Amino acid sequence: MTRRRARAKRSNAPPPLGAWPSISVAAVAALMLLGSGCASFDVRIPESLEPRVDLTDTPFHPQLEHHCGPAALTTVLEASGARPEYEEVADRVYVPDLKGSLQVEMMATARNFDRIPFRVPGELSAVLAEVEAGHPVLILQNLRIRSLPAWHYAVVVGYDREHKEILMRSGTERELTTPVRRWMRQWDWASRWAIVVLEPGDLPAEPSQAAVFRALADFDENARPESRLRAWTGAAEHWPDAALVHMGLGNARYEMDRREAAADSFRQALATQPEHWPARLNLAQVLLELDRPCEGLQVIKAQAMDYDHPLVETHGTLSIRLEQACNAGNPSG
Amino acid sequence: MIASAARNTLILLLLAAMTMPANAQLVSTGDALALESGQLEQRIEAFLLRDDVAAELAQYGISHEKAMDRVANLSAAELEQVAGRINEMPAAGDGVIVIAGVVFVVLIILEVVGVIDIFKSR
Repeated sequence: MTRRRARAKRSNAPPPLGAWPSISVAAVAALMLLGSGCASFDVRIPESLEPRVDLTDTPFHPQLEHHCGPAALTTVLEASGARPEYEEVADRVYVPDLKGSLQVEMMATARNFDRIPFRVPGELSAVLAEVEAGHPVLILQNLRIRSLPAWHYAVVVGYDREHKEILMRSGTERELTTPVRRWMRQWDWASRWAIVVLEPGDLPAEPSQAAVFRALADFDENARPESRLRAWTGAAEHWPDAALVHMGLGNARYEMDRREAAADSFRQALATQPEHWPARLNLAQVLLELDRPCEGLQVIKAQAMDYDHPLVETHGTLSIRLEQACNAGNPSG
Repeated sequence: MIASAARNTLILLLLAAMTMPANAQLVSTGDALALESGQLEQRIEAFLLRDDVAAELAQYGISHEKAMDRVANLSAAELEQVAGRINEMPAAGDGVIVIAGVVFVVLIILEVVGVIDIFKSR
C-alpha cells in the first residue's frame, strides 16, 4: 500500500528540471518512500477485543529523574500483587552512569520479587490482548528517532478502539493518552520490546510455548522451589504433554525434598518423550538417593546414549555410581 | 582435529562441573531446555561470562560487590545478550529529552508567530 501510494505521487510530480532527470525522480521517490514508511504499521485495534479497556486499579509511581525503569517496574510488580519498595527496585535496575535501566536487569529484578516476566510478541494485538486480560504491559519506547534514540519505559494500562488511543502510566503522568499510530512508531523504533510480569502459576493471555518455557526456565535458576512448583503447575494445565513441564515439576519437587513425587514427575516426562535424557538421568539420580540403585540402573540402561551426547559425562558418572551401589546391595549379582 | 577434540573435552569437563555440582545433583530445567534446541554448550559458556558482565557493570557507577549481586540474577540467555555491549543496549532513563523537545517546539512557535527570528529567511 505504501509503495503504491509513493508511485502514484511520483507520476503526479512535476517534470524534474536539470540535467539528471532520472536521478531526481528516483530521489523524490525514495524520499516519499522514506517519508511514508510509518504508514505501513498495522495499527488497527482488533475487533475481537473489547472496544475500550482501562485498568484503573493499576498503581502509579511517578518517576524521579531518569528513573522511568524503576517506576514502570514497580508499577507492574504491584499490579501483580508483589509489594516492592521503590528504592529497592531502583537499587537493582538503575545504572547511574547510563542514567537508565537495562532490559535484562528489568527481567532479572522482576524474578527477584518472586514474579515471572514473560516477553509479549511484537504485535499491537498481542499487547492489547494482555491489557484486556487485566495484565498491564511494560514496554520500551523510543521517543526520538532511530539514529538518535531516547529510550523510555512505560506501562500500557488501556486503549480505546473508537478514538484510536493507547493509555499509559508514563514518567510523571498518571494517565498519558497517545494516538495509536504514534505509539506504534515509538514502540517499533525500540524493537517492539514488551513484557508482562505475573505471579507464579499465571500465564499470559495468549501464551506461546516457547516464550513461556524460556521464562520459566530462567525463573528456575534462582527462584524458591515452592514458586517454581506453582509456575510449572500452571504450565502443566496448558501443555500436559510437554516433557519439559514435568521436568520442571520434578526438579522443583526434588528441591522441596519430595523425592518420590519428583521421581513420578520424571517418569511422566519419559512417558511423553522416552528419549528425554535430562529426565532419564534425573530419575536415575533420584532412585539412587531413594536407595533403589538397581531400579535406577534399569532406567539408565533402557536407552543407549550417543557417544557425543552433551550429557555423556553425567551419564557415565551416574552409571558407575548406580552399578556400584546396586552390586553392593546384591553381592551375588 | 586435535584442537577440536581438546575443545570438546574442555566443554565436557565444564558440563560435568556445571550440571552436577556437589549439592544439586540433577540436570536443571534450563539445561534441558537448552539441550532441546542444541544450545547447551552456549549456555554453559554464557555462565562463564558472569564475572565479565559484573566487571562491565561496575564501570557504570555501581560498586563491584553490588554488580556481582545484580548479575547473579541474570539468566544465561540474558548474560549472553549484554556481555561486552552494555553501552550499546537501550538504557531507558528519559527526562532531559522531553525538556529539549518542549524548548524546540516553543522556539518554533515563537518563530512562526514572528516573536523571534532565529531562522533568518531573508
